[in-house]
Amino acid sequence: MGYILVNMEWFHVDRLTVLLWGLFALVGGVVVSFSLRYMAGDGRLRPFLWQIGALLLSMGVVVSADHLALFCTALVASQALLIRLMIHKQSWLAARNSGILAAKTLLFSSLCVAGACWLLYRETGHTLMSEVRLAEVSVWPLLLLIGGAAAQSALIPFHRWLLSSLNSPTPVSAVMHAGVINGGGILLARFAPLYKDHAYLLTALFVLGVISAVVGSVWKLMQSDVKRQLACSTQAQMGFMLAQCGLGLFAAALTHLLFHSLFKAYLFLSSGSAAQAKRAASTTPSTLEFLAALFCGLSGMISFGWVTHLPFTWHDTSVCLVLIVGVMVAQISLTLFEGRLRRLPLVVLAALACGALYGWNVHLLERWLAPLGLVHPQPLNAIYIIGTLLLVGGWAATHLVPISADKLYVKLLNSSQPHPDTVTPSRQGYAYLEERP
Amino acid sequence: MNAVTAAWTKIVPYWPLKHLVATNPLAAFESETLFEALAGAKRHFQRGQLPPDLEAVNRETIKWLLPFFDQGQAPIGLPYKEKGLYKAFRTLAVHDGNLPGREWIATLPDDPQKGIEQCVARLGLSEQQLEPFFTALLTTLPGWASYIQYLSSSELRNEYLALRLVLVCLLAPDLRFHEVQIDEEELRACVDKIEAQESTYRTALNEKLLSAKSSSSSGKAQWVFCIDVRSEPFRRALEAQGGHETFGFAGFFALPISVEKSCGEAQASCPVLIEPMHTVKMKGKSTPLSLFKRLYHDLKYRLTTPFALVDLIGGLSGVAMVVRTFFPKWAHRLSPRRREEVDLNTLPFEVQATAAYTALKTMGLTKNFAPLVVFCGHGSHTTNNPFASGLDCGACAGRPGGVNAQMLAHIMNQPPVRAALAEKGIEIPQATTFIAAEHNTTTDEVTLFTEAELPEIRADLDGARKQLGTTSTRAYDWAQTRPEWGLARNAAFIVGPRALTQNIDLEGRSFLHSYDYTQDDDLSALTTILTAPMIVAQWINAHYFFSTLDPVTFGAGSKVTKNVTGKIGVMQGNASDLMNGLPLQSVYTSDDQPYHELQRLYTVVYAPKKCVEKVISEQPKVRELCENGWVTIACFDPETNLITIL
Repeated sequence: MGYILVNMEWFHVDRLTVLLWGLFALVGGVVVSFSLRYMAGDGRLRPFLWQIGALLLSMGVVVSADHLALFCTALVASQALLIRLMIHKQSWLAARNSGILAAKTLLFSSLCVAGACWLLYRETGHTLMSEVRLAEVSVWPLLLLIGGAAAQSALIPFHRWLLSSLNSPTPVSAVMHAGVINGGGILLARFAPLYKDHAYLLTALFVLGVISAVVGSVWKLMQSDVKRQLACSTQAQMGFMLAQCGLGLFAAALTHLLFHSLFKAYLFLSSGSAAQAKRAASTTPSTLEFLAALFCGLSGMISFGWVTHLPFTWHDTSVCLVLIVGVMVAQISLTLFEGRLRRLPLVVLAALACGALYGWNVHLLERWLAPLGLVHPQPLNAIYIIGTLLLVGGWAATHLVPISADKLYVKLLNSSQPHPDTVTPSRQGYAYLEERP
Repeated sequence: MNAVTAAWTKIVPYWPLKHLVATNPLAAFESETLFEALAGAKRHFQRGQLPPDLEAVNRETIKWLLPFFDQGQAPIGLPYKEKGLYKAFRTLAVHDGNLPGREWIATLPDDPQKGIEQCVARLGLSEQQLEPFFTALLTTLPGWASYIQYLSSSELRNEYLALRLVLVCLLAPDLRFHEVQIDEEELRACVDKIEAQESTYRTALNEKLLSAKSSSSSGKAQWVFCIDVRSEPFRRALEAQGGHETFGFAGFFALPISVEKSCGEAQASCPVLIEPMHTVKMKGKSTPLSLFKRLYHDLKYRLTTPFALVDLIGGLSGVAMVVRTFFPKWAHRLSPRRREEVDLNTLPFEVQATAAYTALKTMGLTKNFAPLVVFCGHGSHTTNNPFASGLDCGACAGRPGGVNAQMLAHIMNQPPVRAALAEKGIEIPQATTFIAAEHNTTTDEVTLFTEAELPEIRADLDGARKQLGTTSTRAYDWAQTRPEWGLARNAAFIVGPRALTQNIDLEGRSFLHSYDYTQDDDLSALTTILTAPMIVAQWINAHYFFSTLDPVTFGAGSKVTKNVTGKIGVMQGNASDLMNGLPLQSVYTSDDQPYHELQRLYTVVYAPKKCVEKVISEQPKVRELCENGWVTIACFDPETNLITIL
């Protein structure tokens, strides 16, 4: 024969692939069906559907490719398709500029990834990822991979393209936030074993992730339009996911990736309801209530640890995630108290249940991914501790009296704006008809 | 500052999403003809791409307006919001790195009016330049200006203009607006085409009206529907079941009320021309689901907890997504609903008696009462649709009309009210009962607000729905951008007895107002009809007209890329003008195929010619609309049986 178009050895289907294929099939099926009605009458509906299909296919290849070149090609293809889908109508200048901005950032990302793959090939002599993973490599390709992941997942300072991506049709945003944007996490998880010998890189990734998680969260709380609020939220979630990678807990990061994809796709598709949805008012708790909530948080952590069989060791990074669970359970308890502390016994029970429920939820997926060996908790160091305390403290701070800081507000408001070229400042700059400019 | 006031006259209010009200975006040009209005639109609103420095000013304006007008999207709001737009902006903008020379802002006076004067001096504008300059600053970001006009505070109007001028001083100091060139031939051709279309439609309608044969019977019930064009096909289908007589009347049923929900939020439920005078309270209790909602929101709008929230309910979102996409009816059945009940005893007796009399008199229902009289308001049901309130009752200011219907039915059943009516000559038989109903225009289902069984009536309602062939699939589908056509294709306003229009297919394009000239000696009813319901109909007509004519300038653009902001309106994409007007999908079947037809309102009144002429000549607003062609009033003279355009 001599000529094989696709060599099956270039693919490697493992449990992660199956999981992500399932995710893409689910989100893809929903988005295509949604678009058929949502975009009925749109002049670009047919090419749009083809491109969504091609995008899902290329994402499917990204998560199943074993050959480095195939992996890079599929990644670039998915980025190119996404950009075309984002622009949608070329006659709308702002949308075109959003596409160009995304193209620049994603080009940087794919250059990093391609460079890393080339270096990995040069250093190990292998072309298949499954072989590369077992070898020993220098720091450079790993550094490049982190750069590629950070740009793909829109961590600060690569966040602008994500905050400027909302000129896209709603279904494209749903696919983007449930698919392409997660590329960073998938990328790092694929090469996870290589980071074992370069722990300081993981610490650096953790720092990068926590910054995005905290700043993105504050940005989100400041946004008045529903879609930019969702975009800032995704940026924060991506920061958190890569911070989880930084903790060495790649399986937890992938679990988060999966749940976040479903969550965010749902929120984008339902964003038309934003005007009718009322936000429930929240109250400021008393000190006693707050302390009681912390106690409940601790109960939640215990039930979580019990369900997930996480040993309560205080010397590795798994404790950081357990603390986040504690924060969540404490918050739930605060809401349940409603100012009545005599509910404490009931709330403790609820806290135990929440911790356990959460544990099962996460544990189920982590168990499924266990054979891949994606859990490498790192020894705790000062940076990990500070980062985690920042996240915990950030939550606690939202219950304090708000600090008024004009300068900071304006700075954050400005930094969360989309790129000026992607805004539509004149009414007639908006266009929905597909006419070539 | 006369220039400021004059500039604002070009801007028509935009009601926010919670109660969308149709308006004529070119109402400022109603004292001129369509041709002149279109030329005015070109001069002011359709300037095309703006110069780059003005675009920068617009971007910064939008940036500050978004958090200032936010009605509950952002948990961290704009500081100093309570001090007003100009003060908040002045305090914060001194820190804004996007503004070169921002230190100057600190030296500006506190009073926005003085601020305007200082900016004018800095820009070197002469007295004559002021009005066109101010007007252009408002019309180059028309949606946001319209929202400010809706808030109707002269202080805020000054503050907004001051903010715009400060930004111009810093970002576009050399800004000057040039006169827009107008292609008169093109405009003329456009107007001619519209007029040709109007004339074809009107001739056909006249012929239909002249050939109509009535066959009215009211054995089972008399129904009073809203004048809304969507009532017409349903009335015809219901009448076809036999034994039903129908009337048309403004869907707020002459009750100037506002409705206060159990959560404390009050909203007017009468036309915006009328100031609500009484508040009707709704009763409802909180369900356990509100606790889940609170838990969800408390976790979502904080730091750090959203990360864990995602892992907790991500799977659930996946399930919800599948159910809502593939099984919308299940999703509807599973979704929590809160039924609120009207507290019926909130209006004073005098108000009840007056409303009862006015309503019956104006709709011409003063004798021959059937054993059952149904007041049928209307509302819509759509899912995931920011423009939902635009499909509700226009006469109730973008609310469903069921509450008003229930109030009036309750009033009519009160013995003292009936006694008061009898004194004025309206005798309602003891055996007659009034009930209320609400027609869901999306699904054509009718809810009866009564505990009585009424099997015959319910069967006829089902029969009417079957005859129309409406399904509820679109109503519950979260992906649907065309759940119903609303008032698209509206073209005529017919004032007269139902006999005039019965048995002819008006294609859901006509507002139908019941009127009996033999019971209106002083012409008070006709005056009311032509100065209130007809004006509202004309607003709706113009709203659809201009949203179809230019979906970018006067419409909200495509729903595909909409972005709901501050719970008040939509923007396109990342950030844009506040897109007032109807979305593309409400008036077009595809990107380039309009569904709505460009036609101005055609009113036909069944009354002697001299009566109609008298009302028109006495009412300046009606006369203005007629003279300039915004409305064409024709008289169907009962004596000569001729239709003549006045």
